[in-house]
Amino acid sequence: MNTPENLLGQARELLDHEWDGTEWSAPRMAALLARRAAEAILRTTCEKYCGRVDRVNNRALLIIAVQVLDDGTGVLLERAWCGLSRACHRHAFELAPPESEVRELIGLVERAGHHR
Amino acid sequence: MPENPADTRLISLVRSLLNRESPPQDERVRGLVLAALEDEQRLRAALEGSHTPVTAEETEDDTRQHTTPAGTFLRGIEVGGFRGIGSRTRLPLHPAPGLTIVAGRNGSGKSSFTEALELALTGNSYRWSTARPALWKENWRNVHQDVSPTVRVDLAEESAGDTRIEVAWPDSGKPEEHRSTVRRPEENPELPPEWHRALELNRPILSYEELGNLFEAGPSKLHDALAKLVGLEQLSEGTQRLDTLAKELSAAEKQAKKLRGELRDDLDHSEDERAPELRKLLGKHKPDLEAIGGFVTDSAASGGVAARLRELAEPVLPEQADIDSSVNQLRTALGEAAELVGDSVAGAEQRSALLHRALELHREHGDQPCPVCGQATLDAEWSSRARQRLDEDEQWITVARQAQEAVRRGAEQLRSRIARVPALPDTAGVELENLERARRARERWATPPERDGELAEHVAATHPELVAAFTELREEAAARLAQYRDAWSPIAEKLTNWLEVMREVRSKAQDLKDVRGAHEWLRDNTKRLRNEHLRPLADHARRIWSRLRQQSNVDLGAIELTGNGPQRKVALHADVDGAESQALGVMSQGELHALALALFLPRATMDQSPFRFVVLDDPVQAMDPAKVDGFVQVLAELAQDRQVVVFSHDDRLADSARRSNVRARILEVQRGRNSEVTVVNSDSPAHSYVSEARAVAKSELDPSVREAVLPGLCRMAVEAAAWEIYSAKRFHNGQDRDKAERLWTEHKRTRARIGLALCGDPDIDLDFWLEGYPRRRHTLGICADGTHEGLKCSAEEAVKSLQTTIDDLLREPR
Repeated sequence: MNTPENLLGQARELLDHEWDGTEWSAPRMAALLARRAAEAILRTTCEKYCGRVDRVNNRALLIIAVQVLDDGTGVLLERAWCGLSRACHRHAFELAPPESEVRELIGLVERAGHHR
Repeated sequence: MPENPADTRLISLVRSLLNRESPPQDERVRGLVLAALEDEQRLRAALEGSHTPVTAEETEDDTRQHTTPAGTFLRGIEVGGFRGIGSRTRLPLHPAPGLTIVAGRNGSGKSSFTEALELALTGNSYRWSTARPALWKENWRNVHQDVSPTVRVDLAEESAGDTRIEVAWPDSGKPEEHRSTVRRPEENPELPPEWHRALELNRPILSYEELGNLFEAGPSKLHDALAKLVGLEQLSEGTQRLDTLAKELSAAEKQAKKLRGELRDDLDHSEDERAPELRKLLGKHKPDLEAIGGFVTDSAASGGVAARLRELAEPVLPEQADIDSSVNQLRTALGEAAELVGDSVAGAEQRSALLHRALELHREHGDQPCPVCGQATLDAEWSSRARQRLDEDEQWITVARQAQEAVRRGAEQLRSRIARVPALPDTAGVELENLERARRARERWATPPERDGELAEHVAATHPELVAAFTELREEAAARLAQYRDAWSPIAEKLTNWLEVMREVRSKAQDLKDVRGAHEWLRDNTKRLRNEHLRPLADHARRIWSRLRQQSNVDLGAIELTGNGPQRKVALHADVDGAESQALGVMSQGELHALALALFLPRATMDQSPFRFVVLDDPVQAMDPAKVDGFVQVLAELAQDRQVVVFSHDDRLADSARRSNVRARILEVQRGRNSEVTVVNSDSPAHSYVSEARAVAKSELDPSVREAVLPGLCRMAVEAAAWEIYSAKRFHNGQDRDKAERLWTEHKRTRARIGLALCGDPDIDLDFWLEGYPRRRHTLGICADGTHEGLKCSAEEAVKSLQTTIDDLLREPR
C-alpha cells in the first residue's frame, strides 16, 4: 500500500541508502515519493472538510487547505508541495533541490501528516 | 635576457619603437634603454661596455617563440574532507582545449573544487585573504566526514608530463598549516618559477566574489594589476634604474657645483692677489682645469707676490767651493805670471822679430856692421849667438804667454761667477728687512776691479758679505712665502677637491649624457609604451564586451592606463548612445561584472601564461540572463585553444551550451547525505532522465516505489526535451530569454510545455501531435495521471514508450 507513511519511509530510505549514485538521483526519487505522500495527505485532509475532491486538482486543493485547515497543516502542505514540485519538474534554469532540502521538505510532509 | 615572456614582449616593443625613432637614437642610448629593462647589473655592464643588448628588431616568429611557454592543462581535482565535500570526490577534467560546464546548486560543493584548486596552486585562497577569514577558517574542515582533509590536483604539461600537487593538513592543524607535496616529471619537487608569476599575473582562477571586487578595490589597484600583468612594472623599474644611475653619475656634478659655489664665496672674501683671477676662471661655463690647477700651487701667479718671494727664496749664489776654487786658480796664475816679470812679453816679441830680421839680413847680405848700433859686426859668430838668444826668447815668450792666459782664464771664470749672481728682482709689494743689505752686498760684489790682479782679492773680500746677506734674505723670503701659502691653503685644498671631482665629472660626462638620454626617452615614451603594450589585451577585452553587452547601450572604447602615483587609474572609455563617457560611471552592477569578465579573460589567456586553463567560479551569478548566451559564445571561442572550466549555480550556461552548436562537456555536482558529493554527466538532461527511469525500472527497488517515481521521471524527461526544443527555437529567433523563461515557469503542465515546444503556444490542442504516433499519447498519459496516481502499465513498457517519445520530440526542427 502506498500510504503517505510508506511513501515517506521509502523516500527517507532512498536518501539514507548507500546507492550507487550514478544510476539515479536519490533526492529526485525521494522528492517524487514525498510529493505523492503530500498529495495523499492533502486529499485525505480536504475530504474531511469538503467531501469528495476526486476531480479537484492539487493546486486548487492547496488553496483550500491553506484557507480551511487552521492548524497549519495547509501551510505546511503548500510549502512542502511547492518545494517538492521544484524537484519534480524541469525548471528553465534552476537545478534540482539538493538532498538536504528534500530531506527538509519530507520533514514538512511528515509534520503535516501528524497534524491530520 | 629576462625570463618572463611579458618582459620579453615589452623589450621587443621598446626595440621596435627605438628603431622607429626619427632621428634615430644613438646606438649606446638604445642599448642603455634596453639594458635598463633587463636588470641593474646588465645596465651597469652596458654602461661599461661589457654588455651589449641586441637593439635590432626581432622577427615576429622570434617574438612568438619567446612569448609562448609550454601549456599546462588540468587533469582533475580531487577533494576530501574539505569545505563542502565529505568523502574524497574527483572532478575529472579532460586535459585539452575545450569547454567544461560544472553546474551545481549553491552549497553543492562546486566552489570547494575551485577553492581546492586555488589552494593547491597558490597556497592561499581568495576567501581566506578577504571577506570573512575568521568564519572561513572555523569551517574549512568538512563537518560530516571523519576524513583528513586532502586536496589533489593533477595537471598535464605539454612536452613534460604530469604534475600532481597534494595538499594535506595535520590532524588538528589550522587551515594555513597545510603541507604541499609536488610530484613532477623527473622527480622535481618544485613548481616551475614561471607558474608562480603566471598565477599572480595571469590568474587563471576567478571567483564571483573576486569578480565583484575588481572595481571595488579602487582605480589604482586595477591600474597596478593591469600594469603588472602586461609587464609595465618592468618599464617603471627600468625608468627607475636609469634615474638612479643618472643621479649617481650626476652626484659628482652636483658636488662640483657645490664646491665651486663655496670656492667663489671664499674667493670673494679673500685678499689674496690670486683670488680675482681664479674667480674669473671658475666663473667660465667650461672652466680650464689646467689653468685653474696652477692655483693649487702658487705657480700660476708668475707676476705676483708669491712669484717674487719664490724667486727670492731660491738659492742663486754660486757654491762656496766653486768661488774658492776660482779665487785660488786666479791667485796661482797671477803668482806664476809675476815670476816672469822682467820683460814684457810684447818687448820680447819685438826683440825676437828684430833678431829674425837681422839674421835674415845677414843670411842674404853677409857680414856687415850692425845697422842698429853701427859698432858691432853681424858675422857668423854673431849669427850663432843671435840664434841661440832667439830660441831662448821664444821659449820664454811661450811660457809667459801661457801664464798670461791662465790669469785671463782665471779672471774670466771669476767674473763669470760674479755676473752669475743676478740683480735682485723688482720687489714691489714685498717688504723684506734684509733686502737692502742684500742689494748693497750684491752691488759691491757685482762691481769688480778692472784689473785681473785685484779681482781675486775683490771676490775674497765681498763674497762672505754677499753670502751672509743673501742667506738672510732667502730665509726671510722663504718664511714669508710659507706664510703666504698658509693663507691660501684652505682655498688650495678646496680647489684640489673641486679639481678632483671635476676630473671625474669630465670623465663621466658622456656616460651621464647617454644615461640621461636613455632615461628621458623611456620616461617620455612610457605612456605610449604602456598603452601600446596594453592594446592586445584591451582589444580582446572589447571583443568580449561586444559579445556580452547584448542590449547594453554602453559601447566600450579605448582602455588606457593613465596618471601617475595616487592618480593612476585605468581609463575605460565608453560610448553611451553616441556620447563619450567613462564606463565605470555609467554601468550597472551586472554590466560591471560583465566588464570585469571582459578584462579578466584576456588577462588569464595571454600567450605568456603557461596555464592553458581558465577556471571561473559562478561568473553568471550577477549576470543579466540575456548576456548568458553571448557569454557562452565567448567561452566557446576561448575554448578553441584553452581549457575553460566554468562553475555555475544554475543551469543557464549549460542550457545555453546545449542549445547552441557549442561543444561542451556538462557536469553536475550534487551533494548528498553527509556531504557525499557526486559529479554526474549532464550533457542531455532528457536522456539522463530516460536513463534514470530505465535504471529504476530495472532496479530491485520496491515495486511500489518504482510505480510511484517512474511517472515523475517520465514527465521530467518529456519536459526536459520540450524545454530543449522550446528554448532553442525562441533563442535562435533572437527572442528575449527572460520572457521565454517566464512563460515556461508560468505553464507547469506537461501538455502546455509541449505546446510551447512545438508551436510556442501553451494552449494549443495537441491532438495533431498526439495522433502522429501512439506512444506519444501513452507517454503523456503516464506523465499526467501517473505522476499523481501511480503507474498504470509495466515499468518496462513505460520506459520504452518514454524513450520513443523523447527521441521523437528531440527530432523536432529548432
